[in-house]
Amino acid sequence: MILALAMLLASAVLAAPAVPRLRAVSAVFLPLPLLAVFGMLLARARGVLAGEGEREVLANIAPLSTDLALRLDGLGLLFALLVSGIGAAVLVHAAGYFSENPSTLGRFAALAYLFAAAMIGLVLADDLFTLFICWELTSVCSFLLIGLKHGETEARSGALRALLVTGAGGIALLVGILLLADVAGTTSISALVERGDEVRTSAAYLPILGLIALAAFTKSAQAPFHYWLPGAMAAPGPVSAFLHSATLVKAGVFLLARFHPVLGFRAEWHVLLGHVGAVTLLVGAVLAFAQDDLKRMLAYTTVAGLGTLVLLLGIGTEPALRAAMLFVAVHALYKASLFLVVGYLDKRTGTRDLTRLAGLAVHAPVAFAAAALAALSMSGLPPLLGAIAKELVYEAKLGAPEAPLALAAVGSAGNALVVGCAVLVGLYPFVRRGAPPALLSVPAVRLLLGPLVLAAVGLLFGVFHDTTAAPLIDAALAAAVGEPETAEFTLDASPAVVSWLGKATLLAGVLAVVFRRRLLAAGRRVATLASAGPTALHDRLLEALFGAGSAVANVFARGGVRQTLVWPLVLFVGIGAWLVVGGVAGWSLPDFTLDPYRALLLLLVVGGAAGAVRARSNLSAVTSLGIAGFGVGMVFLVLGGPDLAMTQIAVETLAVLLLLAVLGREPVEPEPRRSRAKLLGNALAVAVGATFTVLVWAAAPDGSLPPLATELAEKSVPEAYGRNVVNVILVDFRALDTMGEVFVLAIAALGVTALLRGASGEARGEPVLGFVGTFGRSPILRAAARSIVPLLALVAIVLFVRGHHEPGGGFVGGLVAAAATLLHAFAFGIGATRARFGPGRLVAVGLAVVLASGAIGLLAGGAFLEGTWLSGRFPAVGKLGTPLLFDAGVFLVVLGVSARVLFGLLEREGAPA
Amino acid sequence: MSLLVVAPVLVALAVGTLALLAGRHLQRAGLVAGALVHLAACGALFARVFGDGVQAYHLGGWSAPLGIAFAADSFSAVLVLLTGLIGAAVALQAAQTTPEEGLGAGTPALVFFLLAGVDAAFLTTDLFHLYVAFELLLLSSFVLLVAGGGREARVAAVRYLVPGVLSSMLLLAGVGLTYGLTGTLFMPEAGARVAELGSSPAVRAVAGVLALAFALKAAVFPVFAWLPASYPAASSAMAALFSGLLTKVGVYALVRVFTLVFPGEMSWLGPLMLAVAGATMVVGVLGALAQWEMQRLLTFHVVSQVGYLVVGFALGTAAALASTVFYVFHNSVAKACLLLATGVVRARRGTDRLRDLGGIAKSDPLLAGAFLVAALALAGIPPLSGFWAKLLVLRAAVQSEAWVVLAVAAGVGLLTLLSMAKIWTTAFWGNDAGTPGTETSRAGRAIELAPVALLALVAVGLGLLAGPALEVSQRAASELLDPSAYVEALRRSAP
Amino acid sequence: MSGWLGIVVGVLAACGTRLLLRSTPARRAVGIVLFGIALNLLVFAMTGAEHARAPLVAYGEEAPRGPFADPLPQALVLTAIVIGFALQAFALVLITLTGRVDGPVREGAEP
Repeated sequence: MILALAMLLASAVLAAPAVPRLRAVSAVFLPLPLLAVFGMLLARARGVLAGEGEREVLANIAPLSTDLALRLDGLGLLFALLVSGIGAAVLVHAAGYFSENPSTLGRFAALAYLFAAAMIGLVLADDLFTLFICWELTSVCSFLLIGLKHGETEARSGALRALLVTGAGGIALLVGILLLADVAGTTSISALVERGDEVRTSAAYLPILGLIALAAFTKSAQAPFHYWLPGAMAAPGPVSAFLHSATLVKAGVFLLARFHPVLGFRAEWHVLLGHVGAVTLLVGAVLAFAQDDLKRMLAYTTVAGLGTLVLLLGIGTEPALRAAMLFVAVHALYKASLFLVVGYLDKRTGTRDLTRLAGLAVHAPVAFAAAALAALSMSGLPPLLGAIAKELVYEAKLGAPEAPLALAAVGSAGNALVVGCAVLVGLYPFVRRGAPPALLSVPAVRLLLGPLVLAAVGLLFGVFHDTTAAPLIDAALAAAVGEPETAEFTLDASPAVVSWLGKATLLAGVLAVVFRRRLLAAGRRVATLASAGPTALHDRLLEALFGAGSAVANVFARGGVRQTLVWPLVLFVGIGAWLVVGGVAGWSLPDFTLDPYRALLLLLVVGGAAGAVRARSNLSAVTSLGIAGFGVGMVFLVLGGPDLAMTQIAVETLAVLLLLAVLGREPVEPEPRRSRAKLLGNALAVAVGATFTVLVWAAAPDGSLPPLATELAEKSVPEAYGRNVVNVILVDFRALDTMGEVFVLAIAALGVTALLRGASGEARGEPVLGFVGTFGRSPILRAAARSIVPLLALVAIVLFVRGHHEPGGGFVGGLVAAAATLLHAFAFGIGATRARFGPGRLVAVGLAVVLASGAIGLLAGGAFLEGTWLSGRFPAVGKLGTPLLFDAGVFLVVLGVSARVLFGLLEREGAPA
Repeated sequence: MSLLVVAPVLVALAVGTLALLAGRHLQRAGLVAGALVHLAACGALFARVFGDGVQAYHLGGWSAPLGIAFAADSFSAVLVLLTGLIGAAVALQAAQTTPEEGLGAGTPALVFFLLAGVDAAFLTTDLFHLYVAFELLLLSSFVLLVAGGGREARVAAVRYLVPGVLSSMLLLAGVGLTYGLTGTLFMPEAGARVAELGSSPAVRAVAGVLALAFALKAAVFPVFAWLPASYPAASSAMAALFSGLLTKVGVYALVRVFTLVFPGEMSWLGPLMLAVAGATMVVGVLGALAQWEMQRLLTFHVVSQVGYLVVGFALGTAAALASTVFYVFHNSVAKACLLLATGVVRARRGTDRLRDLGGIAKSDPLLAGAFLVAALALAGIPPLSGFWAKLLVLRAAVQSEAWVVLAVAAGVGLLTLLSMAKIWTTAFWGNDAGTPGTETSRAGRAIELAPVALLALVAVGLGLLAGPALEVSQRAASELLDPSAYVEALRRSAP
Repeated sequence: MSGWLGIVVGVLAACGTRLLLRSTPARRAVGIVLFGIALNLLVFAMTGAEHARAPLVAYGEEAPRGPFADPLPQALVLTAIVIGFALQAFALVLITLTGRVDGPVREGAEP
């Protein structure tokens, strides 16, 4: 059967491009794949009916300990035959229906094949995952098919509604089967069926039942989920005929039948399914009777039929299940046939309105024949198959262990209305006296072949019931029954009562038709409530969701940066609080030794910080910031970090310059005094600071060096040839970090340049560095520059070269070199500086040098960034090797970045070119 | 030592540097070519890890912790492959859609630097280097956001930058504090030290700081607001790049640090993160439902989907971690595909506002088809990748008896389907409502679609080839839970 | 000394946070820099900062003499300073060029 599915999928892919080319001949080709599948199924039927079904594995998914597998048994065979057979009939009809629209026909065919493959896969699935995959695929196909003519609003909204309802059911199914697999320990359905008792007695039974029932009810349009089916009638006729009468909507019923051996035989099953089925039957029947649109009438009768099926499955006795199986087939046959006839009528007369159709028996005799046969089957008249079904149904209801009379009563009432509908759809438009609306010419053969065949099958199988239908039904029944340990008690219903009931229903149905108008007037309010109620609820639920979404979006998208800061800061403070609360005891007191000099430095830092907060103008804020930064630099120096101190001070200088350049001298806008937000902000800030302090105290080591530090220091000279341990770490041990750092620098330069270039049109305050304009090109400056610039350059190089052994290094050297170029620019103008030093690609060249220095290590047979040294020592430098080249690259990048940023700013400030 | 472990990072850095040196006219072609080379490197690494197990490389010839080492287990390898893939797809679109000012600002180079940062984050074993990698990718993303954009992009960049700077500061604090506690930055060793220290309040607090930093970068509830405030203003290609990779690095860091360094802290962090994950899923999808522009809607989804990733992390079982591994890959691919498709819609119709769109299925059936595939994948429809991903998450929840999360994840899945259906029925179905953007030739249209189609195919393939992909995910999960192979590979390759 | 360093870190962080929470771009810019300084000091404090000697090896010797400061946090802070500066440079220019950005995000939530 895997072959069959593959063939259908292939047909789906080919259909869309191929069909428009085939045009009129398509009617012959279209049903072929489905007929072939039908044939394959028949070929295996004998084996299946004898009880042997082979398992075919699609794929093995070891991590989930499951096989994706198919297995053909009686139940699957029944449904699969229905899908393929009815599908073939529908496709022929579709060739006629879409005869003027070949591209739509192509799309329909493709989706129909896909759907058929999914549906057949669903009914043949032997493991839970395949079942689910196919289930969801049928929902998607249904969505796309309902929206086949998506230019129409109703098609779109109908499709969406269907998708949501069946989608919700799908999710429920997924959770349900996961729970089921967890409880039963297997995903194979054949194995699952044998473990029914385990499932029934487990604690998870109720959730599983609820979820799977929910899935079934949504798919099979049970109340209160029935409202999506009429909406789906916005789909073109063939879609409704195929999916929403015969196949897709039966999937829920199939699911219940499939899981009956596992989940049935418990009171909850009977109660749930029984009630829902009964209500659905009534609701569907009443609403159907109230419709004027034939298609909608058929839709609602389908709902009623599905209700009956669920009800029968709820009863759960063997006769009930047999009745259900037969009714599945019967219903599919007559319903599909009627839908197709209505489609024909729609095309022929342009309307589906009951009140306008009349007297068509003469003009459409073939249609009349098909419709009549189908309607008679629907009404349960012998010798059609429908009669046998009806008998069985009544038998089952009367034989139910609980409330047989109530069930019979409900069933009869519903059926009476259904009979009425059968008359209205199948006979009325043809037999009623009156003039038909204007008739159009249509490809009658294509349109009517299908329904005629289907209706005829209903007759044939009715007449030759024992040889044709019965064995199939028996096989299906076997699969659905399962083998429980407790036998069900069945009442025997007397044949006389059954027969009497049948006749009474017929009579009631005909009477209902006669008195239709009066009945409708009486029940109109109920009818509107039942049909519009759930839909309105659905829509209101959606509105509520969208509203909730808006609220969420507003809460979190409103406000700006401050809000995005507050949350993390609050959480951060939470961590601090937790730390304090959790572990105050057992802390070693942090070290509070201090000498006056250091105390002064710390005070400087704190003072600068405070000053920055309280400053009234940008200038004072930045100055205070600078003080704080320099103070920290001095702290670094005093505590043994000379390289660090140099870098800190140099970077601080740059930061201050940058801030001055972009902020200008404008005063700060006055903040609102004493607002609550301000107080909260202060509180938060203090809390954040306290958290940091507490964290530092908790995590700071206790004075002894970690072994890693000692190892680094000890290996610095012998293995890395450098006496400045920090620098050696930066350019050798952890050169990768420094490499990242220079790339980050380069990116920042790119960013600043992009920003300045992009915003060149906007003016900003008074340029603080505007003095450049006045100063620049002063002869004094030039004279000084001529000697100072080379000196600075020399200092830069010295700093760089000695960095490996004494404080210094590429970074600081690069900064000093940048200072030199800045001075040059002040004195001689940016253009001249550029011409001389050309920082154009300097950054990129620096990056390349850095990468190359690492690559040399590779070429020399070592690792990337491995230090590769020339043998022998050189004056002033010691050993020469790739780390020095690396540092040179850093030098170039720093120089290039600083120059780019500074020059970019200067140009904005109006410095002379 | 296998050089392949560092190859992705080196290739990205080298190509980026070349892009800076090269002339204007080579930029677009170079972007694509470089991305393909990068993808090849990532693929080679993945193949090696898949075949030979965990690979390691010590840089500079020093064995960690003296130097910095990279290591690639299955999780890292999968993520690096993802980086290469997303990089290639985005490069294909960016090469077509980046305006001239963007090129002048160095967009191609920046893309590669970002990829380098992401790769390094996935591969490094050193905590401080993790910080450096984060900074590299973060700053690249800042500049990419503003490059070639107008004032709106700059405003968005500020909204993105300030919390981003805070997250970096928190990360630096966490790394520094960890060094203070343990005396090392090498993650396996730090983990050993932490184990010795036990679960003292100090350890818990430091772990908390790191978790907060990563959570902020991953954009989980309640610290996610920066994402929808900034991503929608990016170009579609950049939005795809960010959504596909950046938040995932945050999740990766959470997993890596809390399986390697602070596994003991999962006892309290797990349940907390579970609640966070649930809230994230719900808030994200609700926010998405309210949006009427495609890119905005999709960025809210990014938040929601991160919730699914965190569920796996929070539950911490082998099945749960496997779900995270699979989900990361699926989600990035599907999300990037959808965003790139939005880019094509913008290019062809001039807008991504749902009210102004309609009938794309009629006018651009191929685009519609690709979008449909990706949307269904994201919504979890079988047999696409998203189905298996959601299945794994739900299954893990069932096995851990986390019923609330199970219900939330299922419900959010339905809402995700609803939001995808909203886009589909308003923008793709219906009649042509918008004005066409630019007229392009047939060949041009095909090239426009190439990145979208590529990623859609990957989503389909991942769904159909679920078996092997699930095996890789399981292997990754078991390696994460038992890092002995990771540690052993590092020890073995030490010089 | 780590006790006092901790307090200074806290003060710097508190001031930085206070400035960050203000909505003027100028204040935010200064706040970012201040916060960065606080972080750098924090990492530096993760040395056993008793030892005031710089980790330099004298000429002709093989290892630094006597107790010396932990070189690793210094290297880390150095890198962090530079990276932080790169971030700050971009941030400063961006923030001040863009001006005030608080206020509602432009309506995307309305149809």
